[in-house]
Amino acid sequence: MKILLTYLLLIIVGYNSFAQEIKGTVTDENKLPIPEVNITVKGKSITSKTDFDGNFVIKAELGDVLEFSMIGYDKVSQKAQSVMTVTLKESNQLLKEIVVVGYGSKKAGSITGSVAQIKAQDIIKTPAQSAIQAIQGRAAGVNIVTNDEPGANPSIRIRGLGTVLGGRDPLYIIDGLEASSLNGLSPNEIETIDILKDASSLAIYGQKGSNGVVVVSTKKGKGNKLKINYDAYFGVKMIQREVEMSDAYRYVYYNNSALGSTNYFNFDQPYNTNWLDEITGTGEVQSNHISMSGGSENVNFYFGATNFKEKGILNGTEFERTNLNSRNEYTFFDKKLKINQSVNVSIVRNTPKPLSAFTNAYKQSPIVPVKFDNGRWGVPLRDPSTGQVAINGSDRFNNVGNPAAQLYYTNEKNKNLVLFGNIGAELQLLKELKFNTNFGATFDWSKGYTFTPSREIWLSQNPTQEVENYPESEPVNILQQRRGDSYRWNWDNYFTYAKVFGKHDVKATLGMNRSTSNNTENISGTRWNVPEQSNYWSLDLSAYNTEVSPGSVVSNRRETPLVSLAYFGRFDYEYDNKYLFSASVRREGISTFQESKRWAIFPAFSGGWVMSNEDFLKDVKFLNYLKVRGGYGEVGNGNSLYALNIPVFAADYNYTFGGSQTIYPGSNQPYQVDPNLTWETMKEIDFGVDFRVLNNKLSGSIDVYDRKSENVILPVALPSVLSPDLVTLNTGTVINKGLELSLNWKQEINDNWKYSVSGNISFNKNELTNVNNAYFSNFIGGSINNGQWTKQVLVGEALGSFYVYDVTGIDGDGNFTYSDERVVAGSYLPTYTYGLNFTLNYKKFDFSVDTYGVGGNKLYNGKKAQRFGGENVEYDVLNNFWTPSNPNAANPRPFNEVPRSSTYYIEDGSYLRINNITLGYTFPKFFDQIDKVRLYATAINPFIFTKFSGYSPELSGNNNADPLGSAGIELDAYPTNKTFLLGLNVSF
Amino acid sequence: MKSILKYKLLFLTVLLLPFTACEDDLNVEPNTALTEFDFLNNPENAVKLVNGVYNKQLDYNMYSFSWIGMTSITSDDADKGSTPTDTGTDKHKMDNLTFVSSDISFNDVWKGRYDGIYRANNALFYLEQLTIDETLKNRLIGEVKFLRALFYFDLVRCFGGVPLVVSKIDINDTQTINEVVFVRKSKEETYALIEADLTDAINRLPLKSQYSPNDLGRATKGAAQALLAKAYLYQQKWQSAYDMSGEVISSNQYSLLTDYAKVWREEGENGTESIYEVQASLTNGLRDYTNVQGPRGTPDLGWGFNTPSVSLVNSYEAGDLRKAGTVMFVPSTLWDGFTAPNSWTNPRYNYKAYQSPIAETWNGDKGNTAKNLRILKFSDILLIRAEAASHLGLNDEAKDRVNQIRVRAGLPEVSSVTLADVLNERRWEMAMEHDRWFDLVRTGNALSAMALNGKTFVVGKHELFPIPSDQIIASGGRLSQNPGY
Repeated sequence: MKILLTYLLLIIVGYNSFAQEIKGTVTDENKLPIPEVNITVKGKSITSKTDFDGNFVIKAELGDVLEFSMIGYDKVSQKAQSVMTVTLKESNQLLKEIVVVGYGSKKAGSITGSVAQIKAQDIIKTPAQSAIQAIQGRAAGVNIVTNDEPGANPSIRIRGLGTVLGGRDPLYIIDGLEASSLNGLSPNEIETIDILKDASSLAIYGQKGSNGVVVVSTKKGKGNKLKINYDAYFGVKMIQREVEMSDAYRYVYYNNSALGSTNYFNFDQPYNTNWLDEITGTGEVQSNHISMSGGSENVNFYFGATNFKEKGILNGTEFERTNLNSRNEYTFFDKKLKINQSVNVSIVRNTPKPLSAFTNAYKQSPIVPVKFDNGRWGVPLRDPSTGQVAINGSDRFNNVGNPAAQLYYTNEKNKNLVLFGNIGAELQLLKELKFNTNFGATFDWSKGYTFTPSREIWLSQNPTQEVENYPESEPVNILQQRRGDSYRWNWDNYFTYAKVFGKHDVKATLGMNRSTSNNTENISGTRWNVPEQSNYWSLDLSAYNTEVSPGSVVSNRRETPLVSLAYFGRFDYEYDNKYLFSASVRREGISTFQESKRWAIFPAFSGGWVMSNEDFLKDVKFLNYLKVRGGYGEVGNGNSLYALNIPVFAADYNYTFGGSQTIYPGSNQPYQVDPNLTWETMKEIDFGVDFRVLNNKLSGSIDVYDRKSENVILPVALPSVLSPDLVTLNTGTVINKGLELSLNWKQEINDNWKYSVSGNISFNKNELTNVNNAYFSNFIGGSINNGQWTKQVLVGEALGSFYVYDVTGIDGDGNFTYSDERVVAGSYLPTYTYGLNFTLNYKKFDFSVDTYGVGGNKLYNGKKAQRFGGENVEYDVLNNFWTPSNPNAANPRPFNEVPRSSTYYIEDGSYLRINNITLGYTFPKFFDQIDKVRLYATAINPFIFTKFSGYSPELSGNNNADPLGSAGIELDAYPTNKTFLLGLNVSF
Repeated sequence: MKSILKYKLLFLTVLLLPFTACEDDLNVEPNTALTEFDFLNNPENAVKLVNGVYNKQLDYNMYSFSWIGMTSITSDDADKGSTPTDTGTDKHKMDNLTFVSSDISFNDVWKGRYDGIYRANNALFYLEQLTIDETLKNRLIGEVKFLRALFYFDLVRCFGGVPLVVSKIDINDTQTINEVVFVRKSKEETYALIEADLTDAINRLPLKSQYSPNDLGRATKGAAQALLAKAYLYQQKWQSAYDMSGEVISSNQYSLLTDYAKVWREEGENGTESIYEVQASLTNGLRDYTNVQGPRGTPDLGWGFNTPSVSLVNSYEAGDLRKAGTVMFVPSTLWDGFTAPNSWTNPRYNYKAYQSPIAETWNGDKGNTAKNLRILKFSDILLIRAEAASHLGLNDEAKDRVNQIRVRAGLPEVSSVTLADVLNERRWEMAMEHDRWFDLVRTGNALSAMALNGKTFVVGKHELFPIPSDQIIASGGRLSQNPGY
């Protein structure tokens, strides 16, 4: 025994004595160290990796060939020496980039799913208070519908329509913090945005990833030097497109014809008002941002502050947001423990004005003045004896309010304080095993008030009445004070195991995620008759200060929280930097569904082959990089209309009894539920090719996907005898099939000229293939609120297709004739979306143009179809209308009836939007301390090319973009804006 | 070396703790409404559940614009009103009898009643499971059945036979739904259900005077009897109508108010003449009933629809006080002193719907007013008795009842009445109270009366309103449409 042991020892020692510890450093061409480089001893199974500083240690014999490899670099083989310096040459610049994926990160070259990355410099080019607007047109398959209201969020759709209901927006992950929007974050804070598009990447997020995931990494401090950035811009905002409305003459002509009269309205009117002009003006935007960052060996810090102010185009709207962001990273124990922490504060002050003023301006008659001659607000009153508008006219000929008065008397202010942040730690337990924990939370406190000057409003609607006529029992004014708070948090814990065995690179992740959201509480109180000056607007100063006072309403509402719990695991395998494989699984449960339906499992697997690293492609000169990849994944959606899918009894169905008419409480079950409601599952297969050719000048990727959403969760209306309110049901199967293509061409002509052109286009076909719920198969939607509906659930068509009568011609009376049955008239979902970007650099000048377009979609001009008698008409309606001498006109003869839902109101919704044109100049370095000073001018949304005759072809609709709601139907007259800015970037 | 290992192991176990997070966390308690379990545990909730059924009557789709359009604007008593350019979406079609099944009013009225029936069925279902005092439970069941009968009565008068849903249905029970919810029963079966519900309610409900003052406004035995009498009348069951109305009269719970005009004013609310009213109060009022019919123009009191017609105005006898109590003439000075000025759009408005901003309870909210809706009045019962008597040949009884009405209306008594006289009295007494259209249809006088008003009533079609087309689509085509639509 002893001899055996000694023998073994000798062998080992002997073996060791021939082998040595080879030390060295691996750097790139700029002498910067490269971490995580694989080093193998050729012919032996001895491996090592470089550390953070590029240093490595490996046991080898002198003269052994050591192979150094790393994705993104050309492989290098060198003979072993005691101390070595190895230089690796980059083969593909872009693949070094780290892409954040679920619970971890990968190098871009290792990605096997479909991920789009957008970097800081592209985001900065489109100043907006939301970084989302800046993404538009840059990522294939990502469709962004903008919203120009100050402070409002645009909505994102990734890869066509799959699901709805609270889950329309993708999940945003800001440095590990789950959030429902990027609202609190200034675009200046963002380093990269990674958009995970396909199921194999999303599956690890389970139900939260059902609409895609947008992972945001914010800027961190780097290096030892203190860096300071200052960005500012100032600009003006204007209406981009107007719909021309009739003037007084056309209005009178139309309404008289519709009534069959020649003189109901007199053609000679005292007033002619352009309402849109009266309520809008030029808006202004202004933003200032300053940040400091830096660090030392163990600490990195970043601190930024941004102030954004906007005066909107609607008279009186104002919005201001101030952000403070602080991010720090600390390392301890020789980098074995890293702690990162970020705290962000966002303070918003908003003076909103009702957007319905735009719609009232669309509808109100031009013969009504803003104010009558004696200064009283204009009201639609006609004097029957003269047919003219007069202040004492007895015929109130429409029900539309005075939009200028509406804006004047709206007194509302809102303030929000949002605190969000996260704290995380990464602990290197063993060389291959590390543990991450991350806790993120968002707290939102809101307060606001609305002051309604009731008596003034009454006087504005009754222009011949005076203050003495105002009934005593009515309030002089009403004050409502609102307070609310809401919070959400998520907590992730996971282990990551990473080891390299020769050419095999193995990584495994195992973890859990717990989150809660929808913890909202609101309380508001209303009282009458507070003093007129705004500094006295508190409820206690109401003239009715008693315990139970008239007009006193207190409302307190607490929402039911949503809780989710999930366990996940992922396995990644790479062989020789050529063959990639990844698999993940997530088991998730949410509180919404009833107990037996809560849990679901979402698996995914994907693989990739870096063909350009293969020997047979190594000599192909023009091909720099080629990867094919494919994957399958399942993602779920658990969002229902109601936070809990159980039958409940609600209060506030009160009724009066008794001689003294006391109100007694009443209850009711407002809706029934389907106890079988369970997860909606989306299964997707995705194949893709990424390539770089011609010396990295041309790069691109192609993706083909087939996505099937089963048990799609939608709100459905049942016959009221079964459930008066909507019921959430698993309704059917929707498929989305598509192709995404993106290409990028970059060329440096010489030292002075550089340009790049990139484009992306994606095609998507959406189809409802199966309905497995009887209520859903008979469901109609797209109501325009006057009894007419425009959409129906149709198997074999896109979800949310228009289903209207076809106009077959005009009859002898000038009215349309319709088909007997309704026909499918297209869908508001685009069949293709595309973006084109062009950048040009000449010496110190930079120029760029971004465009974005969609096609194949149809829109319904609902506001035109909602017209009531006495309201205004669009100018074009009288351009080619039926008269007995013009029987084949495009428009029917004037009418006041509620028109049928028909193809007359269906319009082509394709558009091409010039998103952004920027010209910038970087000043030559005049101070050594100052790194860069750049001055730029930008036009945002200066042109939109479209045939749609309404205000905006981007209509995401109500109810969180419910496809069977008002998505694709223009019901309001909100104009889009264009902005011209002048800005400055300074960094030192 | 060993201590570091110990630390690492300790760390590991600490780190694994979050992985044992409770699956129990997924059991979340609701914050916005009560679970079934919690609701049923509290016996006070029984009354609340029944109050919730009453509450349905305040909704917009019950008695507001759509109902006014279908029951009043269609008739010869009222015109669309308002300004000529305002169609009220489909009210001009109601006025001209050119309506179609896709018009919004029919869907509104249908949905409103079935929502009420849903609440009634739900209440009956849960009342069985709540442990409460038997007498109270008995009375509550009676109230719910009365309300359900009232909803079905509206449905059968408007649409004819309808689906009869009398119990809570599981939404996944497709078979029952296809058989019960999507199949129209006949008119006779519908009336049979109404009679059954009301007969049961009569046995359970106390008399109006037996209720505590706090419960004023709840369904009473008299209300159930009155509604049953009316249901008999519509089915032309003259003897039953005669007897049942007789019971109401002989209960001595009701009598006519002395001043006709005050019946619909706040001071006449829940008076001796009132058998059943929808109770409304400020902030919990009848939605938009006042707003729809309020005078239009300056000062702005409403949209101005449902104006009394010229034919109604001209039909009154000279000296009939009911004309001044029903029709508000413009210009004039109103009963509360308010000036009805020239700056109002229409020449006449429904005086019964008038809500005074100076003399009655009022807070400026036209859409939510305290005006109770009078559904059943004693004068209605007297006229039912008179009409039934007339059909049975009991002319003395008919004459006596009619004279009671006439004297209150400031008219001289008559010595005898024909059926036509009774029907005329009914028109004048109940003008603008949502009965005229149904009276014309059930008596077969619709064709001639509408022709006098310049409108074409199509026999064989207009006796029933169309089943809303949206409901037919929702039923997958199972519901059958009425003839002619």
